[in-house]
Amino acid sequence: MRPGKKIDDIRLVKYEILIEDINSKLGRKSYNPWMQIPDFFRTGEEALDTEGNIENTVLALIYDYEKCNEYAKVIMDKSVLNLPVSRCALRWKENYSTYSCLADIKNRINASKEFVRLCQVAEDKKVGYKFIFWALLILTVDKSDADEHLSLICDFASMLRITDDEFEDIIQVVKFIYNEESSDYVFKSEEVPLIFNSLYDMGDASDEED
Amino acid sequence: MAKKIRFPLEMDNGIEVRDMEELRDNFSLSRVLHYIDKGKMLVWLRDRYLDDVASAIENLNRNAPDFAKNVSLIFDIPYDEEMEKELNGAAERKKRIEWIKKFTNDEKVIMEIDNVAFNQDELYDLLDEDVSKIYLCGDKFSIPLSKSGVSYIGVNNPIVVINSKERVDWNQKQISIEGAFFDEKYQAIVDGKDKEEPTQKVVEMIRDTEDTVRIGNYSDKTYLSFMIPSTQRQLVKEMYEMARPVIEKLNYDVDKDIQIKKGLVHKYQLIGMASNYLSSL
Repeated sequence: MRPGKKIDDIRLVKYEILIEDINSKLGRKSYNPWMQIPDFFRTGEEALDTEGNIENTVLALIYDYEKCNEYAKVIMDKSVLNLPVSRCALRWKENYSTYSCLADIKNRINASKEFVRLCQVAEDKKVGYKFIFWALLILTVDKSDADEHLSLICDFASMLRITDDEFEDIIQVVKFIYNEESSDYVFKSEEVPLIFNSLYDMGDASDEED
Repeated sequence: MAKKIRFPLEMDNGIEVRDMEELRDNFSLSRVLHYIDKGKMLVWLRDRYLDDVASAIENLNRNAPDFAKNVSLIFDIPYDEEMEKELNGAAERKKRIEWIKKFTNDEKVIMEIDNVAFNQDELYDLLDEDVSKIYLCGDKFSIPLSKSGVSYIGVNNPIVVINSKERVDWNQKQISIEGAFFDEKYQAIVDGKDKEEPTQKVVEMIRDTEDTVRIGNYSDKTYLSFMIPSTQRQLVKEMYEMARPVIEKLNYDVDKDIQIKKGLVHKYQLIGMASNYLSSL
C-alpha cells in the first residue's frame, strides 16, 4: 500500500469513528419512546447482522451515493435515523432498500412523499431533525453540487414542517460537531436542543481521537 | 318487490346507451373494453337478459391478441382499421392520463390531456395544430417566440428556454407563461445579472482564497419544487440563505485537531532528527 493511501485510509477511519460516536450519542436518548425498537434505517455491521443488506437510503433522496466522496459515503452508510416501527416505515424499507432504487426520479418523488408521510405518521419531528442534520453534515465534507443539495435540504425542511428557528438550531448543532459554534448562541426552539443535547457531552470530538 | 335499477353505459360524447340497439348505434370499442375490464359490461348484459352475449364475452381469452376483434364480432360490429386506431389512441390517452396524474390531480388539466406536451416534439405538434393553451409537463421546453397568441401553463414547474438576448415583451408577443421557470441564461437577463458576472467571479476567487467554498443560489428547480406550495417558497429561500454562509465556511478538516501538534513537530524539527543523529555518528 502506498504511504499516501494509508494516510487517507486512516483519515477515513477517523471520520468513521466520529460518525459512529455521533450515532451512539444520538441513539441513547433516555426519553426516546422508541428506544427499544430496532432501527430499520441503518447500515453497518449491526444492521447487516440482523436485517441483511439494509441501507440508510433516506439520504439518497438528496445525494446520489455514487457521486459522493468517501467521507459523504461514510455518513450515508453509518448514519441512523431511528425510525419508529410503522406500516409506512416497513413499506418504505421494502420498496426503497437500496440506493439504486432511488436513482430513478419517479421513484425518488414517490419515496420522498412516502418519507414525509411516514414522518408525519410518527407525529414526532425527531426523525426529520436527524435527517436534516445528517444531510447538512454531508455538505461539510462534500461540496459538489452544494447549491442543489442545500436547496433539496431546504425543500425537505419545508415539507417536514421544520421551522426557521428549528433549522437554525440544527445548523448550530452541525457547527458544534466541528467546534465552530458561537459561544453566545442561544437555541431558539425547544425540541432541537433536547434531541441533540447528548452531542454536547462529546466535548472536543477530535481530541477524543488523539 | 323493489324495482331493479338498470344502469346505462356511457359511450363517446356522453351518450348513454340502455339497450343493445343503442349500444350498437353508438359503439365505442375502447369504452366497451373498459367496461368489460371493470365487470360492468357483463352486469349490463345480464340485466337485459343477454346472457348468451355475456357468456360469450366471459369465455374469451382476455390476453389473446385478437380479443378486441372478437369482442366487436360478438356485438356484430365490423372490426376495421379505424377501430384499431381508436383503440390505440384510447390506450395512449389512458397512459398519458396516468402519467400526468403523477404530477397533478387537477381535473382541468386531465380533461385537456390532448393539449399537454410531454416533450418538445409534442409541443411543436400542438403549435402546428394552432392550440392556444398548452400545458407543459416535462423537464425543459424551448418556447418559439415567433408563435404568438399562445398560453403556456407548466404542470410540474418545467424550465422554459427563452432564446433571446434581451427581455421579451410578452404582451406584444401575446404569449403568456405560468407555472414554469425561465432558463438560467434568460433569468439572468430578467434579473439584470448578466452584467454582474465578472464581479461575481472576483468575489468567488476572493472567497476561495479564504478557504470557503462558494455555494450558488437556491434552486427552485429541484425534483421536489413542484411539491412546495407557492406560499412556502419564500420561507424555503430564507432557510437557504440562512444556511448558505455557514455551510460555505464549514469544511471538515480531518487534521484540524492535530495541526498545533504537527506545527510543534515541524518547529522542533523532530522529523529526520534520528537519521541526522545516526548519520553524524
